[in-house]
Amino acid sequence: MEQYNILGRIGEGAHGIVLKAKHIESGEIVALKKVPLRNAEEGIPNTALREIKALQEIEDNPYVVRLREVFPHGAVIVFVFEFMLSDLSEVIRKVEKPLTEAQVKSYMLMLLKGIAFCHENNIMHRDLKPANLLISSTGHLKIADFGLARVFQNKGDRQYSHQVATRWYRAPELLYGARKYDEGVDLWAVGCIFGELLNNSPIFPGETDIEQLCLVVKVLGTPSEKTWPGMSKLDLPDYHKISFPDNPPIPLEKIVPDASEEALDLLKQFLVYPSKQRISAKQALLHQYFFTEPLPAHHSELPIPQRTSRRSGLQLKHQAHEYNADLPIEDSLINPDRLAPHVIRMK
Amino acid sequence: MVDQTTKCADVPCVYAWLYCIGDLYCTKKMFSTSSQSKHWLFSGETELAKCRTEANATYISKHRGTMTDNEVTSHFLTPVEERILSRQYEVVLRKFCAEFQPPMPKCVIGTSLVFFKRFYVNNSNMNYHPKDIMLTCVYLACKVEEFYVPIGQFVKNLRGDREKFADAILSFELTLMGKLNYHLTIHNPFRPLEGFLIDIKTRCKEIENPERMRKATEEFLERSLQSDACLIFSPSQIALAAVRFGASKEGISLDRYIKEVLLKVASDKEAENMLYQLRRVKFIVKGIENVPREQAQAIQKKLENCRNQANNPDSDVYKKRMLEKLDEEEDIRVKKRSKVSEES
Repeated sequence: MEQYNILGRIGEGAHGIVLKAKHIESGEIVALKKVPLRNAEEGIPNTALREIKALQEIEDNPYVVRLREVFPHGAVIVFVFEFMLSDLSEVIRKVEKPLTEAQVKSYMLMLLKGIAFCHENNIMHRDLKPANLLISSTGHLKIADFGLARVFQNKGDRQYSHQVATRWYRAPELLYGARKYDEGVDLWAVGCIFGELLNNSPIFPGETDIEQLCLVVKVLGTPSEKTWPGMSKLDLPDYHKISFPDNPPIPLEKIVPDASEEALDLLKQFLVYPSKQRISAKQALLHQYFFTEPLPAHHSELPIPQRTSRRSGLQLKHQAHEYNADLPIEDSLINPDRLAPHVIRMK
Repeated sequence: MVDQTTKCADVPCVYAWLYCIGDLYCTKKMFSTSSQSKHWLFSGETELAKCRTEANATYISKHRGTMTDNEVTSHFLTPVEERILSRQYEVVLRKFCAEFQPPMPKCVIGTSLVFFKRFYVNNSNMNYHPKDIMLTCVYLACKVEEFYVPIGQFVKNLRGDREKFADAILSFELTLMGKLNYHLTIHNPFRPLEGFLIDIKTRCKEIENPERMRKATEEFLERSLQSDACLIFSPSQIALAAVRFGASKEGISLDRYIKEVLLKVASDKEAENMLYQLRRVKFIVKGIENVPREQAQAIQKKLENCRNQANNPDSDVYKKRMLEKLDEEEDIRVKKRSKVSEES
């Protein structure tokens, strides 16, 4: 911890606070995620272990946020990540004009590359959402928050918790309480994020778990053997707890009215009931969408909103000695009288 | 640190394929890019012995004070003694796991053992008592392998002051994780073993009833857990060596399967190297001797005098340090609070 200078607070996550800091030796700006162990009767929390496990196995990838190191500090574990300026949810919220098609393509390209990489490394993220897609100062998108990530095995008999993923991005099998699922849950979330980028607002903003399911069913139509083959054989504990009248699907054209033909075609391949039928990240990268005009934007053409977290006293105090173009130059100069006692005079 | 000959002998495509038996068309890489392959495979027993001797020497030089060489030998554990002791605790660990309630999956046992072995590659038994580290390894492995056992239930498997055990385990958990360099994902040989058996059944039809090889195969694998094999070879190499051994016990030769089916796409040199590695696994596993129990007990007694009291939860030094730590944290909290009130 002595190696870092705390510069301020970035935010508070579900698993602890995140601070902005400077690595003294290299000058690199980093994000410190502090996961508290206090009152943890069970020692190191499982979420922290999973994050460490996932990030230690993943090799460097430009679209996955890099874990620089982990170390204990008193009663907390500190994760040191590369510092990221913002996240996609802020981008969606803050942009003055809607994202252009080229910009959306660029974000999707980076997201899919990151996801393809995770899946290739047998890691499912399980909690993809715009707030977990960080944006660097150069406009690059990187996947973060592996607190729910699981290293999966292609054996198919593993049981997982269904209470994963933030509601709006939760796949239908999870909403039905499935305990056996696969990386398809990430692909569903990618579809939801894609829709949100196209519309500038979430496409399934359920207020409750039940409403969430209603919204999905309304758009995709009531699931049946035809739209979800083998669903009766799947273990969906909550399926019989709720039934919907037979509704035909609403064409996605109506949900994302401004999307191009190619965008719609790709979106449709993510948002399908059977998890195995969702297009894989690797395949999606080869979709026509990315090869038709307008082509994906260069990262320099992407918006980079500043973080607007409350500037705390701590932050101001530490930034005071940094050079700021808006301040009078006298303020950033050092008073020579204060330096004098430390100066060794040569005889 | 990794000997290149060991590394390239693990034909990656074969391996990846075997890892994903559930999905035959899967070409995902699992092992070759893992932290296990990158950081925790040593060239052989010589390199391991070197690391362990170094850990031993570092501890002694730090704690010997003004002792003469003769005094050092009679007071501290020698590298050989340390090895006997940690091997004895591996036996204890396996027994503890075998009797554990609820019954634990094999991978938890495998992972616990790998944690334990890795820990004592770079640390002396005198610095951290294997008794504490052993329990912490099992507890951490339960979590890592998603076999969830609350600490209260975990220590029910122990006789004695359970609360004290729980405190010790939790206080060593972070240390253990740090010493393992936070590399927590372990690849065990159990899955590749099943993979090879299925593969033999489907692609090597001339072998009748391959299941009959299972008993001797599993015995070999069990035995391999007592050795350093998991620190030298990839899990698939160990598994294949086990199957090969199991087959030979039944009078079956797997040479054709290995050369013509499994390593069909490999070059002659790679195939030769693979066979060489398999022979090495067999040599190391078969060379395992039982731990001399009485000697281990004597060493354990000796350890009581030379262990690092700062890492002994029963010692006064340790208790004092823990209290100081708590005070320190309290201080920090108080300072923080006063700071906050100043600011507001």
